[in-house]
Amino acid sequence: MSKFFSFIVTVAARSIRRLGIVANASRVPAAFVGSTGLFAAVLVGAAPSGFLPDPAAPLEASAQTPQLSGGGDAFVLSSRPDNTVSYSTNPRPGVEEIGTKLEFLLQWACFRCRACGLSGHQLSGVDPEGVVGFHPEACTKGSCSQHPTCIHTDEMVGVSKDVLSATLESLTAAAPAEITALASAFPHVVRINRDRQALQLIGCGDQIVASWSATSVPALEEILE
Amino acid sequence: MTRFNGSSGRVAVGTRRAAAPRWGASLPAVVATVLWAASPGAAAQEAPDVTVLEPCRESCGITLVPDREYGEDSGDGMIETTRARSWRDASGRLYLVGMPSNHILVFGPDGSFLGRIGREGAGPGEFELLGSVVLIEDGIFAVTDQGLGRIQTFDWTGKLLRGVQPQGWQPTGVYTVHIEGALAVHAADIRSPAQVGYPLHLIDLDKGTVVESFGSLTGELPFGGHIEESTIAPGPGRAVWKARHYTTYEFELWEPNTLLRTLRRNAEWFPSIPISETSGHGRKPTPTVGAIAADDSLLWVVVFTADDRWAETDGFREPDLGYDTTVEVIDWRRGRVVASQRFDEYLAGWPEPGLTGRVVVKPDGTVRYVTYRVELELHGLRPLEW
Repeated sequence: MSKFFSFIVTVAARSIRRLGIVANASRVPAAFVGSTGLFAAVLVGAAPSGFLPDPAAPLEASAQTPQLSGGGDAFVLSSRPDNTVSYSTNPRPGVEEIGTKLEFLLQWACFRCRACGLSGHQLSGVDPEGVVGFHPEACTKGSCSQHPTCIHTDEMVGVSKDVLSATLESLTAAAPAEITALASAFPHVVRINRDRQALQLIGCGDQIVASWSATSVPALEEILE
Repeated sequence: MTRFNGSSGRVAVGTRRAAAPRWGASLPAVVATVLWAASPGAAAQEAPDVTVLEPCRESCGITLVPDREYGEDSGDGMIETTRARSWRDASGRLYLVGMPSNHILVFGPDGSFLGRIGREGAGPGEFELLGSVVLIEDGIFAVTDQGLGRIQTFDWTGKLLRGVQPQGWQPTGVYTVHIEGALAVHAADIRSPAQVGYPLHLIDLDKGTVVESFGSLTGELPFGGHIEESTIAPGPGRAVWKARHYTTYEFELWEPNTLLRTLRRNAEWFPSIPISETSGHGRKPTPTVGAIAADDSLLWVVVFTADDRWAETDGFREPDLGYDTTVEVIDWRRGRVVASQRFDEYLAGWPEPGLTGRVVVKPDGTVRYVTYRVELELHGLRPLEW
């Protein structure tokens, strides 16, 4: 399998290990799914001989339920009919969990098109299944349209839109103390930019992948006082 | 050729809720913002009303009158692309850039070929991926390089006057317009701590610095999203016109950190859609505002619309077959569309207000860039300022 694929597998496995979703993270592959060969690196249970999980196989809920700092059923995998697998989130995660999830989301967001160099967050779209990923047609829009050779083949990765929104929702709903603790614990991911009066998410090298003002993250108002 | 005046506009106004003040990158801006923030009622900046443009109802036709023809059959003056952008300076010299491109073809006011500037490379006077030509004064222009992230300034003979490598940001956009002196506005999604979340950036072409970023009331960038690219044009004074490419047929007039005006065009053929729906699996491209130009009273707009035969063609190499172009002329002071017409051809943009152009492949295989003067049917009712 390509280096890229190995990278995704490594990223997924590392992230899952950190989240404690499965006991043996080395058994966790990533998979590209979809009849058209389009994207979606998805996190599945154990499939040592292939990349697509058996849709009929029950999920090992007990084994895959992590024990995170927030406690409880924080991170539960759920199956999807098209073989993709997404996970729901704890509505009240702790700082460690938020930071770890953000690290994982950044891996997705920072994937770069080898043809045009644009990042995942710059080229993403949402498929009918609610998976955020790359579309080859994204090349026909934006800066990539200037690259006649911009082709995204099947080297694509996706992330559940639900996971994305839930994780970010927990971030924007966090209390001031949680935000400051998050910035302290994950300085390579989260930064409070006082000049810009913003909470910024750092990734893809030295880029700012997201930036929120107090309009979206009310906790900022108290932090910046 | 198809005439198309599709719109169901109505005159109305509305307001948009603005967000908290933002902090500029420069010291004066910070001071100004501190003072502003300390003033009563500074909790939220109110955006100006949105003006919904009145559609054109009669005498809306446009005639494109051939103006000049550029290009040679062989040699350095040969045009090697079917898509091109151009800029015309005060003396009438035309600077032509293909898409993509690493060189500039310079033509005289009479259409004669004057020279070819640049080639692929990273050395002085070379380009990797040319972003925009920025006319600074007659015969002097800067060139942004998306690939190398640098800015070089030339005269029309090709003499390299200076070059600068910006630090902390890169000119990654394809639209840059001159404002005054060494200042220009660059439209791009820049991901550095101070610039992120703002689509427009006031830059110093000589120093390679960002003076101020603006173009959004919030300066926010959602995770997983991006700043929708904008096409821009110089406005009155230090202002700049900004139009979104894909999601909304709307124009905003900005001065750094201040939204002066918003014009919205409600046209059935250009529905407002979320950015996530502007591309998809084999879907027909949605309408795209390709380029705008502005003068004291008129906004000149080209909108690319997928041709009925879009799916059968290679839209990049055969733009005439893949796309139609709707040309619209807007009296921005009065808030109404004064002309609108759809053409089967792909028109490349605005070398200057009222002048558009396209690449033409002739039956014998030779390629020319042809400019067209836009003539409006609305002779008797032209705005006085025009």
